[in-house]
Amino acid sequence: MKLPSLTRRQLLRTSLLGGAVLSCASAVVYIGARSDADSAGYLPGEWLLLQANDLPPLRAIIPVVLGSRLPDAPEERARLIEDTLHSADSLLFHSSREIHRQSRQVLDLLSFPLYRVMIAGIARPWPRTSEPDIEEFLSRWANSRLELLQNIVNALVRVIQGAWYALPESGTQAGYPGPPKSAQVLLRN
Amino acid sequence: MAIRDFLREGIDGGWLVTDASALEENQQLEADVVIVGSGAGGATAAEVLTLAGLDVILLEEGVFRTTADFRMVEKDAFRWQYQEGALRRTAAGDINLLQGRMVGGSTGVSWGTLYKPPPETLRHWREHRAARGFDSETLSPYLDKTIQRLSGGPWTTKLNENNTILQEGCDAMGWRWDRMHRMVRGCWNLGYCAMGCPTNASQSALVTSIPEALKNKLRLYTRLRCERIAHQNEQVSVLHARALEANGVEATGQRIEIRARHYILAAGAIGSPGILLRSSVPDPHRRLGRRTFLHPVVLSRATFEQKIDPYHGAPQSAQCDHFLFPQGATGPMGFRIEAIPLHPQLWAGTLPGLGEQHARWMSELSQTNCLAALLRDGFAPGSQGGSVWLDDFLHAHLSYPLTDYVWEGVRRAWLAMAEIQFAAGARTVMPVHADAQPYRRYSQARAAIQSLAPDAPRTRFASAHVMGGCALGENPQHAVVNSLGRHHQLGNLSVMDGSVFPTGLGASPQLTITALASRFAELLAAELLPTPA
Repeated sequence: MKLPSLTRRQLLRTSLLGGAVLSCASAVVYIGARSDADSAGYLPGEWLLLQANDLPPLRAIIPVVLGSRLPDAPEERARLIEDTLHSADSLLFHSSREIHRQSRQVLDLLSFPLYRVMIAGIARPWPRTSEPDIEEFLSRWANSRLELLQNIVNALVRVIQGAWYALPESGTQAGYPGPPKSAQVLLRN
Repeated sequence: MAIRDFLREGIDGGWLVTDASALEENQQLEADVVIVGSGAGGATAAEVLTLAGLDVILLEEGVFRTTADFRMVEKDAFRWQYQEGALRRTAAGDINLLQGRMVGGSTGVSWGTLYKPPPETLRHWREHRAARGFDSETLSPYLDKTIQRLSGGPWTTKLNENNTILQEGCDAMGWRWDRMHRMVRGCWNLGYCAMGCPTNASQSALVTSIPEALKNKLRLYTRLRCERIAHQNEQVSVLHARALEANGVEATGQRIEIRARHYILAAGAIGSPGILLRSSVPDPHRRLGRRTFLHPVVLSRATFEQKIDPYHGAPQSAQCDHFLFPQGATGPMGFRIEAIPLHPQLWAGTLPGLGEQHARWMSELSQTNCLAALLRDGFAPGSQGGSVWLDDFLHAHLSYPLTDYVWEGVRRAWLAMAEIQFAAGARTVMPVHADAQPYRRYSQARAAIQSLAPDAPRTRFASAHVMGGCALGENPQHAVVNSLGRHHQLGNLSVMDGSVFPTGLGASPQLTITALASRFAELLAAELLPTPA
C-alpha cells in the first residue's frame, strides 16, 4: 500500500460511510465478486468485503463497542465476535460502491501500522492494545473538534452495532420479541 | 390464512419483467416513453401512460420484492429494499438518509402515512416560486382520486402505546394533535411497514400502480441503473443504462441503450439531479441539484414504567402539527411531531454512545417511546436546503448545511417533545444528542437542551423525506422544470418525483408526488398520442 499525503484539505473533502475520511491511496480498490452468501451461512475465513488486515482492528474494537452484550465464556465470546464481523462484512458488502470505497479508506487507516500510531494514537498492535486504551481512542475521536474524526468513529460504531443487532441472538437480549408470533404463524399457513 | 402473493403470480404468469443482472448481452431498446425509477412518481406515470396505450419501459435499480419476501426482518429489508443498504448519509456523514430502492421505491418501505400538502405550502409555491396549477381547483381532483385509490383516511383502530404517549402528552399540554391519515386496506396492525408489508395492506405503488401498469404491458427492468442521458439540439437522444450484479453494487458490464420519444426521470431527489448532472444537461442558471430538502429530523427518547413495545402496532397513528406553521410559512422553522417505531438494528445506530451506556439504553427498548420532529425546510432565507453534487467517481452526494435558523428550530422541537413526554408520564426524557443524558424532570431537560452544542454529528440527525433538487416553477432562473415537470431546456424530458418540490413539503410526500405525476403524465399522454381525426 502506498502512503497518502495527509493534508487538511483531503481530510475535509473526502468522506467515510457518508462521513469524511482520508483520501488515501486505496481509494481504488478491487472488490472481488463473491458468492452472495448470507451472514448466517458464512464460511469461516471467507469474507465478502473485508480483507485479512482489517480483522485485527475490528476484533479488538468490537468488544469495546458491545461491552457486556458479549458473554464472558471465551468460546462463546469468540464465536459472537466472529459472527458480528461476518454480519458487518455482509452489511457493508450489500451497500454501494461509494460505501465500499469509504470503508476501505477507514479500514486501511486502522490497519496500517503507521496510521494506527500516527493518526489513531494506538502504539501497540491491535491484539495487544487494552480495552481501556481502545475506549480512550474511540472517545477521543468521538469528542474531537474535527467533525471528520467524529464521523469516522460514529460510522465505525454504527456499523458494529448494526451488525450486532442484525444477529438473531441480540434482539432477545435487548428485550425485542421479534415480529408477533401469531402473525408469523398465520402468514406461513 | 396465507396472504396471496399476486405479484409473484403475475411475474410467473408472463408480466414483462426482466432482471437485468441476468442479461448476457448489450441491448438496444425502443419505446414511446422510458421512465427511470419506480417509486410514487415513476410507477404512477407508468400506469397512466400504459393505460393510455403507450409503449413504456420502466427502469429500477432495485429488485422486485414480492409479498412473500417480506419477512419482517430488518437486515433483509435494509439489504434489498433501501438505498446503499440503509447506510446512505449526507456527504459530511451527519444526517441519515433512508430511501427505498426496490420496485415501488420508497412507497414500499413507507410507514404508511398519506397526507395532503399543507395549504400554506402550496400558497408559498404559487406566490414565491412561480408554480402554476397548485390551486385547489386544479390539484384537488388528483389528490382526492389518489386518496380514494389508496384508501387514505384517519387511523380508526386503537393507537399503539408509542403513539398513545403522543396523544396523551398533547392533550395534557392543550396542543393540537390528530389521528394519522394512513393508506391501508385490511391492515393487520403489525408494525413492520418499513420492512415491506407482508399482508398487501399498505397501499404502496408495489400493490397499486405497478401491477396495473404491468397488466397494461409495461416493460419493467430491475437491477438496471440509468447512468446518463445524451442530448443534442435541445432534445434527449438516448438513455444509457448499465445492468447491476445481483447484490446491486457493481455493474455486470452489460450496457443497455434506450431510445424513446419522451424521457421521464423519477429517481428521487438525489437520483434525478444526479443523472442530470452526470448528463451535463443545459443548466444556464445553475439550479440543478440546488435547494434539496430533507425534513431534517431530531429525536427525543423517553422511558416509561409501563411497556411501550415501540416495535409493534401501526407505526404511526397520531401526529401533532401544532408547531408546523408557528408564524406562517416564512416565520421561524416549523415542525411536525410524530411517534416513530423502534426496531433494534436501526435504533442501535441512532442512539449515541457505546459500551455499557449504549447497552443499557438498548436494554430498555420495550419501555422506550421515541418522538421525532420533522423540520419544515425551504421556506425562509435561513433554510435554503442542501445541494446534490458529483464526486470524481460521478457518485451523487448531498451536502446539507445546518444553519442557525435550523438549530433554533431544533431546540424548540426538543423542548416541545420533552414537554409532551413528561406530560404523558415519562420516567426519563433524553434529547437524542451525544452530550445528553436521560433527565428525570422537565427543568433538567430544558437546561440541557438549551446548552447542547449545535454540532451535527453529535445531534444524530435523521431525515424523513428527500425532496427538491429539480425544482419546478415557471421562471427558468429559479427552476429546473416548469409547473408540469417539463425540463426548461430539453424538449422531450420530464421530471416526475419529489425532486420537483420547490421547498420541503411539511408532510409525507407520497400523496402529493402521486397526484402530480398523475396530472403530468395525463397531459403528456395527450401530447404523445395521435390526435383523433
